[in-house]
Amino acid sequence: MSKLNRRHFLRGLGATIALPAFESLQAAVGVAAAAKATRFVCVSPNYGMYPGRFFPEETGASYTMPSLLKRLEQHRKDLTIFTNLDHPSVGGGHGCSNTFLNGAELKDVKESPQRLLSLDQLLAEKIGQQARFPSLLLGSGGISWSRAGIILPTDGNPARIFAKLFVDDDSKIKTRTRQFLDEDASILDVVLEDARRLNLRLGKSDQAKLDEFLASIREVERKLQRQADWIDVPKPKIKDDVIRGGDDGVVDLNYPYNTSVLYDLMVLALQTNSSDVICFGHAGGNRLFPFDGVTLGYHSLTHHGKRPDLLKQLEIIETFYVKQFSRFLLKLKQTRDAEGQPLLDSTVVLFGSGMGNASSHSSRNLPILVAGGGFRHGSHHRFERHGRDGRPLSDLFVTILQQLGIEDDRFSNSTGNLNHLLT
Amino acid sequence: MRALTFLISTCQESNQIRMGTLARHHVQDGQECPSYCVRLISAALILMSLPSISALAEDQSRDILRPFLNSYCIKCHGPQKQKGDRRFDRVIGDFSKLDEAEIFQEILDQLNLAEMPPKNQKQPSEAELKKIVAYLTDSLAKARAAARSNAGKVVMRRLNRVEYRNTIRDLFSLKMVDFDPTTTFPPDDSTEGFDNVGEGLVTSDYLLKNYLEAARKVADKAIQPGPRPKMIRYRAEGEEIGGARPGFGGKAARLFTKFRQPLGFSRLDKKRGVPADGEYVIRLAARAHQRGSRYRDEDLRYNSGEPMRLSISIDSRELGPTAHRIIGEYSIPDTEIIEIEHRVWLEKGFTFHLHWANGPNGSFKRILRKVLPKYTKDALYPIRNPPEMYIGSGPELHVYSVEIEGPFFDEWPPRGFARYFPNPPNKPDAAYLDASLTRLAGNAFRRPVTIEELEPYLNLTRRYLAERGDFWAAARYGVRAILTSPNFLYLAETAPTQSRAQVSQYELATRLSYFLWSSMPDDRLRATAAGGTLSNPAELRRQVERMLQDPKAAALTENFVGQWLGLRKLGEMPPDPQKNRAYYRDDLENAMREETLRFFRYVLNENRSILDFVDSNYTFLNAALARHYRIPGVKHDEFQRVSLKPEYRRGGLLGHGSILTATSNGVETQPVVRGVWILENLFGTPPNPPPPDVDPIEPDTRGVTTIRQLMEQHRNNPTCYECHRKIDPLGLSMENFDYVGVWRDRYSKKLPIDSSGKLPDGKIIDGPDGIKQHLLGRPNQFTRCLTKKLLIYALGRRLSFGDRDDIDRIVAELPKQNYGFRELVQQIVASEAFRTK
Repeated sequence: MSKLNRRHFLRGLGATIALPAFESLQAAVGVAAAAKATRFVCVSPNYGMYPGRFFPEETGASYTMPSLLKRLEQHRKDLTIFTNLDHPSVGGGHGCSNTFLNGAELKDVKESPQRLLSLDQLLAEKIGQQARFPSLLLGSGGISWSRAGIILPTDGNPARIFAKLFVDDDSKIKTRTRQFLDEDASILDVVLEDARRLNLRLGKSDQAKLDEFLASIREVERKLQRQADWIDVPKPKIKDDVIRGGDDGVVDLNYPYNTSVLYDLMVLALQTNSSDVICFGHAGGNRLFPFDGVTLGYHSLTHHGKRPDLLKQLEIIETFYVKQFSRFLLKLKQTRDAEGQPLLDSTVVLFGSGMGNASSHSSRNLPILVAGGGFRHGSHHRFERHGRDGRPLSDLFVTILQQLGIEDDRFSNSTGNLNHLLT
Repeated sequence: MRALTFLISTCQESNQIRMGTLARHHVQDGQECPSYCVRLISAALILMSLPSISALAEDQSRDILRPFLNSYCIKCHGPQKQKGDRRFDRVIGDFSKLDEAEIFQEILDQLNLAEMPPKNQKQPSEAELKKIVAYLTDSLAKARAAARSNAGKVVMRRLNRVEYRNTIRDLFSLKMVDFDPTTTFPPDDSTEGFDNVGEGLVTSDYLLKNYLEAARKVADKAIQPGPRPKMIRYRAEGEEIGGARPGFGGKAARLFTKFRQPLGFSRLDKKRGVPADGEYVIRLAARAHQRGSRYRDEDLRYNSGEPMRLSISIDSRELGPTAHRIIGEYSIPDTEIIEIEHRVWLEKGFTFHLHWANGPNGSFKRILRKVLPKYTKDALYPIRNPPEMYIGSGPELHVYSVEIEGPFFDEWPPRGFARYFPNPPNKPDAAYLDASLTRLAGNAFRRPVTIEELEPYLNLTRRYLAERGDFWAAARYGVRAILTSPNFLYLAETAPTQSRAQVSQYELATRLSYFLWSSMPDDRLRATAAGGTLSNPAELRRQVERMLQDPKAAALTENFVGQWLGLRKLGEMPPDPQKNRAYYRDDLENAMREETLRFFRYVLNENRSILDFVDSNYTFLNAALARHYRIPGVKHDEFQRVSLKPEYRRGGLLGHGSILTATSNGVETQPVVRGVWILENLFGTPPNPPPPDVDPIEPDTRGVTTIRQLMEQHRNNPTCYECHRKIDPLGLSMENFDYVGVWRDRYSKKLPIDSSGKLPDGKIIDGPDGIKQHLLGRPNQFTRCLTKKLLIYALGRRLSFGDRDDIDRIVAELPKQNYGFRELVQQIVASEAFRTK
């Protein structure tokens, strides 16, 4: 369909369609048949978890749950813990938190930025397209990377997220939005022509730079089309109790108290099929957590130098993460999907970080926990460490991809998969 | 030629060898070495193949590299055996060949990690190891630089966030105080420490979507046809004031708590704010009532000891909480009514509110339920008792009247609008639209535009006009399209026809204005370029002088200094509020930043010697910062220039709290970070990055007493020491400044500070003064460092070998001009690198 016709086609769409027909939807149908799970959630604390308290001593099914994770005892049968998973080519350093879902650093792949594509964004492409939001990136960011090698922005504002997911624009705004999309698309046609003309006048290295611009135009056009297709699809109707909170004084919708609210929003998003791929990041930085017993900034605490007083404070913070995560798993068990099954059964939940030991900024022996998704759970697996090497974390990612119906057998620097442990 | 030695034992190989850009391999476990006799044969084979190695070009590689490889590597990585698929007998030592460089990088990494040679093989001596590591490190750094250099070509820069904002400001003469179209733009990546270097400025679809959205907002702001907007004047008194609790006010609206009872005009709030951009005057009358009352401060969560303060905030319903900003705070007297008048520029859609800034903290409901019952038997806990029981008995802020009037304008129509749409006719037509947009494109693209290149844009807007019939909507549409063009978003320069071609007049004007103003050229600069005289050296000098005196040159200070000195990091790791009350009470973080900015601006404006950055006998302080530095006699709250006595130990950048705090982590000092900072920003000799995947040293500070002892670890590993012998002495010499820049003579009663250090050349320095004296003794070193940094910022690209001549020339010239900073800027603009492409 020529560009001009496409504009007219958009305008004529009106409110008559129930669900937009995507090309990718056809592909998704093929994928869905083989999938044992259909959703993916990733929770990632920027500074990892203190290794001394995260990893169980024993392996197998009857391991003792470490004190830090004791809130997860109720979910023992639904989760698996791993020891000695690495991102080997990352090489530690401050940036390793951001490599959690792609195992590569910007500085190492400058020539081929597409190697930075993160697991969640690959999933958004493959299984996320039939939802309104191919992926939802919440909390603090840094782990989601696009094919262009860009860190994608996240949203940590519960009110704004709620509005995005569940509040329909009024018809005036919808008309206006449709008009804007149409106008922007036409602008991009002209700009594309202009860019091609400019390209002829540039030197070689500048032309390579302009290619980024040209690629961006194509990608934006695709997204504008998508947005236009979804305008008339009504959003699910959900009461806003989830963000209003209690009535004594103002509800603190600020971090970290809004963590439970964000988790609740995630459950709602999954339940209403607003998105099938969600990432939630706990921020780093040197904030002073408003918990009793915590007197130093978070970042300072992660540089504990093994001092017991600092470790004690760090534990308070990490226990908070675990408590909230456990509550989330419980909600996933209690909430049913459209087929009447607990959400957890069809949702792969990954908890972990690209930062192994925050005190030394290591990217080895990462704290990894997997729950739900129809996997065979209940054990703690420890891989052998040969010299410096454990098992690549990407091997787990391959298993996750396959569980979600994607027939890839490689991801980033994987050497195999972990199907024999989880499926 | 060295003799080869044999070992009678099994080789072990590691399973994985760290790869640079080569692919990974896994090697099987437990592979045994061949027997003794096979080794003999392999030795013979190696001897026979040595002639290929003997053909090495460089003397150094013959003297250092080849013998080392022969002694320690070839046995397992040569013609007979290629453990891990590695083979080193065929390399020549030509670092300019990419595949050779990769091999050597890998060898270097293995040596640094002490992975190779394997522990049970013959080990090189410490001296040999040091020599080969130094040789490889150095050669590889050079090779990298050569491979990376763009041979002086500017990789096209797109406008970064700051530049986009400033350019919009100047393109349309807009006040950008509460209008920022870039709030959702993704952050810009830095290259070589600066976020205006083209290489790192990537365009993604996310950014492009933002550009479209931003262009829409800008077009709405910029196109203001029609007559001057009608003025509004709202006045309310007493209980009529919006937000006042009805039934108790009487002559005044009463405030009971902090921030939860905003007073304002419900009319404004309902109408979605003020009707137009412009300057508004807010007037109010207020008085403090019963500041001290029968309620205890702790119960009310309130401090009756300080005067009541009223604050004015501006808000936008549309933009939500992020737009909320306090624009003024006033002390309200206890005994008489005060009248306040406040002028403020408000964007259309904004409204304002009044708050009791330091009132009781908590909700009014809380006071009725939890506080009141403590003081009145009739009040029950924890029910919400009637307000009458409380009102009048506690502290209250009374506002008697509030008024808003505006918008006021200096000129109409707005300058930016009139520039492109002068004297619009009653029924403007397509021809007028064409002319206006052509004028705009000429400014936006920063060069004359041809009809044919603009034709598609003009066709687009003409079609829009024909379809909708709304001229000004079509005009806005045209603006949006032009602001999305790559000719606007990128500082595009046409391909040079030869190497070292001069940039065009317009390109030179653009480079100049983005260097000094982070924004587009103004009319005068543009006219000079149009006249063809900008490249004339005398004219260029004049323009630089003029531009540095323009207020827009503040951008140079803000953007260069923040990045050169890493000031933007200040605030990332704030110190513990419990232990550093003064830091927060006195707003020291901002004060420190202010000191450094003002210092820089002064050196630039007065053309002072750049060596003032190394050491100076003055700085800029306010009373709070002077207290922090323990400098007596500074009483003024505003910043002023203060003379420094040597015993204050604060001269130059090394005494600035901003840098001392930004190089610490809020808990303790970090000598390595400080050492690297000094090498990077003062010495101009940044150390190589640490080797990849260093087995993490997990610091154990339980038993260690000083940080100097902790850093002894660096000495124990010879390859760590290679770089750390340059870093550690500098960082440790700064230990007298703690993590917020306060001078200390000792760590504690028992632990004195040892601030001595030995530099790589053997010289002993002591304390920050030692570093300063060392640098002042070789002023060209710092000159070169600053020149390079400023040149990267000015060019917006990395430096290449070709720039070396320019830098050498500047470093030789500047001492003759007394190292004047302004002169340095002039020299950079006059350099070949700045004027050619």
